[in-house]
Amino acid sequence: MDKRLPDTADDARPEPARDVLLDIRNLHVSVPGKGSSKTIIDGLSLQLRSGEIVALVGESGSGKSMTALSLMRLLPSAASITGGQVLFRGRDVLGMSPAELNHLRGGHIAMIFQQPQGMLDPTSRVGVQVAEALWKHRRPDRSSVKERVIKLLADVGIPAPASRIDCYAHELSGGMAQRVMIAAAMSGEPQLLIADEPTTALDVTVQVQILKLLDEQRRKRNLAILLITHDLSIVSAIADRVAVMYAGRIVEEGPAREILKQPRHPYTRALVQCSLLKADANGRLYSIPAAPTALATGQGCRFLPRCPTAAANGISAHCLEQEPQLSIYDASCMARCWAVACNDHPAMAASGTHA
Amino acid sequence: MIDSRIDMAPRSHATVGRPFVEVTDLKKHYMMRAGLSLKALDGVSFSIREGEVLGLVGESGCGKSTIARVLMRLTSATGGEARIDQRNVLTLNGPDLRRMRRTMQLVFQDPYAALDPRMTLGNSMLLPMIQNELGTRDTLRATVLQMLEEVGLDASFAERYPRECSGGQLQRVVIGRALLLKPRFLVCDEPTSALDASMRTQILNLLVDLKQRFGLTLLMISHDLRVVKHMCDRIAVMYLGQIVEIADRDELFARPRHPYTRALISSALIDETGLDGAASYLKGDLPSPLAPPPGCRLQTRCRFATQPCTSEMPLLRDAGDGHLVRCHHWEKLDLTSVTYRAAGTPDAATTGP
Amino acid sequence: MSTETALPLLPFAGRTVAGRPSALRRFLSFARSRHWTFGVGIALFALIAALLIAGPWVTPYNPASQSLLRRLASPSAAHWLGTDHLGRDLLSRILVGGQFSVLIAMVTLFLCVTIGTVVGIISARSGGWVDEIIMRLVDLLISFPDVVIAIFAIAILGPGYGTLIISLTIIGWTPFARLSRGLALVISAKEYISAAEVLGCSRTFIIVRHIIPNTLRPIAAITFLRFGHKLITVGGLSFIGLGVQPPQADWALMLAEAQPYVERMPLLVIVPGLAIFLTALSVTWIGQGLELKEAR
Ligand SMILES: Nc1ncnc2c1ncn2[C@@H]1O[C@H](COP(=O)(O)OP(=O)(O)OP(=O)(O)O)[C@@H](O)[C@H]1O
Ligand SMILES: Nc1ncnc2c1ncn2[C@@H]1O[C@H](COP(=O)(O)OP(=O)(O)OP(=O)(O)O)[C@@H](O)[C@H]1O
Ligand code: SF4
Ligand code: SF4
Ligand SMILES: [Mg+2]
Ligand SMILES: [Mg+2]
Repeated sequence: MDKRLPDTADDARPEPARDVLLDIRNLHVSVPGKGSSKTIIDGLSLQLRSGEIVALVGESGSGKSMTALSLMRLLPSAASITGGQVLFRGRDVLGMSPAELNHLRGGHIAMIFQQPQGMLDPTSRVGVQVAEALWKHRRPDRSSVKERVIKLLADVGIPAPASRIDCYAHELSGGMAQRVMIAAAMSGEPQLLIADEPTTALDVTVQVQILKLLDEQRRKRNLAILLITHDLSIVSAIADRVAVMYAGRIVEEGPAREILKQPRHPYTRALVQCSLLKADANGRLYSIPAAPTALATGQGCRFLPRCPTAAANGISAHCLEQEPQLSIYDASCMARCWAVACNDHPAMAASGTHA
Repeated sequence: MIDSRIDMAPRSHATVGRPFVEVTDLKKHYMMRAGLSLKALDGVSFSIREGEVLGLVGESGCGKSTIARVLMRLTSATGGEARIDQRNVLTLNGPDLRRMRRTMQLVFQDPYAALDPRMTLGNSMLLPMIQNELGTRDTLRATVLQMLEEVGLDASFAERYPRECSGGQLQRVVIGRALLLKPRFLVCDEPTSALDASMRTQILNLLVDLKQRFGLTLLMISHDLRVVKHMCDRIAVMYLGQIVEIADRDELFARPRHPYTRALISSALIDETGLDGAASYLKGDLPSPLAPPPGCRLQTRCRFATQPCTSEMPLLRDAGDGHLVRCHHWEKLDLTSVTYRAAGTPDAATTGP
Repeated sequence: MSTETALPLLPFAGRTVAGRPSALRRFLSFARSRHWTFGVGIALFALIAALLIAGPWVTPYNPASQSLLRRLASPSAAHWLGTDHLGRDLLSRILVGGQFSVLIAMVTLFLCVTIGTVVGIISARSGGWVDEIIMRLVDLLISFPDVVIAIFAIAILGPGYGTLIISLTIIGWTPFARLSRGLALVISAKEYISAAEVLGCSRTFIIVRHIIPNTLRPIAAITFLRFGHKLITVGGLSFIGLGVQPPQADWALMLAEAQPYVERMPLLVIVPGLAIFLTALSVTWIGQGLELKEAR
């Protein structure tokens, strides 16, 4: 596996600008598998700037949650970080002591999850839980804690917050519980919020409210948000940039609306087409061929077994023999695909056509 | 080649149009502690013509699954009637009920939960057929293999256990298992919401195919308007145990009459309307179903709520051509304009400094 | 029907198919995924079981033959573990003395599990007053001290192995009934049970094919954990004279008989005590290994 490290590091990637808040460099995460260990994040690099919302999308099992957890060093015990760096304001999170980490988590970086009800302690009142989060990082004097909590809850749009602080988690609706989670997350005045599918468990009408709330928080606090989701319509509604993951690596990255409007990587194209739920002339919906379990383990492109572009244009030797690197195809867009990167690829010759 | 036990020929379309499922004033009240009752279904009526696909959408907890469970007799109804092929299934019992069950089948939301983890997929499909005395083990085994092929799986899946398969593959098995009993009415309770985008389109394609092939009448429950838009002929929108709007699909999307429907549509099209547009139609959360507001159930969230809304429950009225709507102001509201923007709405999310 | 042969008829009720690892391999990989105590427990129990089975043939002396001349002899080349207060060879008695306790514990445990599981599942699936009555009966039995029940049983049936087994079963089935009722309620709430109902499966089918297979693993785990407890209860009843009768060799009885001589010959207590302890421990470790969630 180490053999691969140098060539992924070669990915064409602009030097990080100065205002980069979070800089993930060549992250590797693996879990023990049958016999040898299995790499589930394989050379992932990503940058976030303050005030920016970056969406991480990809199919189930592509490694989105694992990426998020490794940023916080909260990976399950089976998984371990086997390489790379995670720089938060220039400091490597992976080398931090437990005390520093504790300060980082919830303080500079906060996280919210898919199931808000499950993340709240069912036995204590929500006001107390927000107060605890507040206490951990800000140490306000005791008399003002209650006011601060009420203000935090009001900030996230909880009506009549003073009467809500005595509720238990199960007495809140999913949307309210997610607001409480966001309030607790905001109590440490973080600079980065990691949101792992924050609206998946919520209803569509509530979903937009939560997204709007996140967007407001970002503007108000110049917060950077790493938004993990599988819903592309959310991405184009809220995200500035999008990174598309496939099998543990980023395959395409760039400005969200541009990428989703004109994806170049065959996987992104397929994903966009699936998500549209628009039937073709025969009334069929598009779906990506072959099961994700049938992944090739050779040295070629990982998407090859399912790649519609390769299927339509004939498999090129490039795709078969060498893993493509992330390369810049447009001012700010990157894709990991031979058909995008090199001109003699058959798909380029038949330019514009795709399945 | 074709086994006689699977009826491959599409049923005659001559009968399309006759109401096949008729649900009238269906009520389901759960008794809760302290004498409170939760009206999960509060007088729901709809009908589905033979061969038709009816979509049922609505927020979580509005009673969609309860309808499915009541129709399948997994839970008893508090009142009302549900006729399927002229017979009231709610009053059937014993052998009659068991026989009726074959006519109506259910596809569950979570395929992992709907299959016994300790049973091979083959047995999960085969044993119910044996229970229904549809044939001997040996002949039915061939039928199972044929059905696996029908739903796009190969014979090796018969040997597998659920943990060895993906969600999409399991959902195919669940659908195949239901179809093996040759039902005429299939209820799909969020059949794709546990699956990711690519799997979802595969399963929806499969359902469309099988519906044609087996001449099914379908009730398609979903919270995703895009899914029902693709699948359904007619769509019913539910809110807090009541149907608030029913219309033909194109009519519903072109001319939504109920504010709640409008909110659902714009939330589903969030990438086109943008966050502000999508969030402008409704405010706040679903109120507790234990204490629904008097009058119109949407009044706590509706921006158009006025006096009659807070005191009088609107009735489901015909707005023409079988487009039913439950709103006092439906004639006055113009919800079609996309440019519609709510300026300065008292949206809970926007309050704060 | 003639068309069926055209289809590939896979014997999917068969046990081993190409690609599925054999039962032994699956067991080995299962054992490897457990805590080390699981393997050690199995090895230890296998050893104890082998010794107990081979016991009557490998004992150096007749375990019942007394020799008052060699009372309370210390370990020597002739008597590896020494002799007891009647001059009987301790090693021989240990080797045969476990048979009854272990066998009785196994038999009663089997009866307890079977009765408890069946009653518990019926109780859970019936609900209503059937459930109510069964559960009150269980409460009643649990609140009676074990010894009282054993004495009652002996008063009615007279002493003997049969009585011992019956009284131990009456004492012991209730926890299994509670457990399996709880498990059955949990499983009944699962969607695949609803699915089976919708598919028109009968009540018996649902119990036999869905509920029982899914309760088996946790119940098996608890069964193993209870084994040590049972062994000690058998010992306890023998100790107060309700179980194995002298001069029969039995671990618990040996402990009882050795009491007056503890100070002169501690081995007389240590050896049978250790035998009971190790047997109970090995089975407990097996049970713990089974109980842990299956590693995914
Ligand atoms: N505890 C674990 N032990 C071993 N492998 C794991 C563990 N948790 C996750 N994985 C594997 O890591 C990979 C990435 O999982 P991850 O949860 O990050 O996916 P995801 O993109 O978040 O998917 P989803 O959309 O379903 O949440 C998957 O292949 C998964 O099987
Ligand atoms: N067994 C039950 N006991 C009490 N209340 C119940 C029970 N089952 C459902 N409910 C309540 O009935 C209401 C309707 O539930 P139902 O499951 O039908 O909603 P749904 O529309 O299917 O929601 P979702 O989209 O979350 O599946 C909810 O408020 C729910 O809490
Ligand atoms: S590199 Fe080749 S196989 Fe991979 S995505 Fe591009 S065209 Fe498809
Ligand atoms: S009746 Fe009133 S509150 Fe209800 S939806 Fe219509 S306008 Fe809104
Ligand atoms: Mg995830
Ligand atoms: Mg539901």
